[in-house]
Amino acid sequence: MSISYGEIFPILAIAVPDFEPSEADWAEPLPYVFMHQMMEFVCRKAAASSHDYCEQFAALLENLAIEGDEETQGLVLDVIEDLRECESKELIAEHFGPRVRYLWEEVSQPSYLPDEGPSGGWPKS
Amino acid sequence: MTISAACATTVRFSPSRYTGKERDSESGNDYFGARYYASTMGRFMSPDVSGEPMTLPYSNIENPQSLNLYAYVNNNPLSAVDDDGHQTVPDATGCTNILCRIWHWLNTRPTNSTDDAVVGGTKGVVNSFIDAGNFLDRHLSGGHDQAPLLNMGSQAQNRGAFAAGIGMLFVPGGEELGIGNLLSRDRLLAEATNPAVRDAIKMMFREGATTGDGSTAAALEHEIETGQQVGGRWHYTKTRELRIFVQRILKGERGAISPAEKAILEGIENRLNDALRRTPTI
Repeated sequence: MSISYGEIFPILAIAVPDFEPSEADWAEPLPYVFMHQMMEFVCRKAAASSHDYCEQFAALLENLAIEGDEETQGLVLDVIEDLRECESKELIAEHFGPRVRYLWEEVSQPSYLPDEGPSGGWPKS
Repeated sequence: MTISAACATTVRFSPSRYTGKERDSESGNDYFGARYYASTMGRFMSPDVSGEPMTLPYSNIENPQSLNLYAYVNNNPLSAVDDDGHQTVPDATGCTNILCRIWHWLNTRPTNSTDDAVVGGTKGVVNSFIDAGNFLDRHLSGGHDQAPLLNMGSQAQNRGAFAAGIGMLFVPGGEELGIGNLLSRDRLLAEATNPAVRDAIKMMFREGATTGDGSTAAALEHEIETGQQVGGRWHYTKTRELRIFVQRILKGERGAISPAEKAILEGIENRLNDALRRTPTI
């Protein structure tokens, strides 16, 4: 694991080029808020058939899920849960890498409980 | 001696009756301070007279029931209580009804309480009342949302999401704004048009979360109390960041917000502060 949560913001900032942080975001980065808003942005773009954004977003999540520390992985799971409310979620999910796809399939189960998390926990490296 | 006779010697009927008020043994009426209530007739024995000079005390032209000075809490005892015989006004919690007050107590009690089972059970009961209230509200009001019983969303899809806990946000001053003091996630979103406010609500209440009041703050509180993660990750960082985000919106950094949105954000901020104050300092 080479990405610590404290160093994550520059990675998020360049992941989806058309979704850039403001000056206030840089002054005191809030990765949870930024990622939630990025997800909403990509969701809107996916609905308009802009699949490039979906690829960029999915690649970011996969990278964070594999390389991130525990807090970063928690952020990834939070975003994936958020994605359930996106109407065009399946268009985004098509681009997921194996680790995020595993989490997505867990989270998408009708029996999934947000308070319990993925039944199998995080996939083994 | 029969069992019933034995019981009869030990049973003591409490003088406290409807809503905990004392019953006069001679008249059979309940004493509310300002006047007596006749439970046999379901009304007060004298009109509600305000201490302040006014044309018609406690009247609300939009609610004809308020013109009946003999009625108990506008003939709506499921949603409101009368403490002193006068029409009820919001108390220090901002609540004007008993369910709101119970909810407030459940969610502001000390975290080292040892009565979690009791609290959990009470939440279930309160939740049932809220559901029943919403059901009655919807059907008695002809399907419209006018004068909602608890001023909270009653969409059927909400029921499952909040089945185990009380997935509600306490909104200070919400009743005066006409949106209610206790709002479900769907109602909060229905009141919010500013995208940043909507983001804050969605981050605060995850759909389907049932720990405590279903909020991010409740997840953090649970983690502090048990040392166990909620949903496979910790919630401290998210709670802290969400609070900063809410404060930025309140400062006007994310565009104009309505009075209702401001009240909602203040409710979220209060709730996040509650949880963060419980975080152990190292």
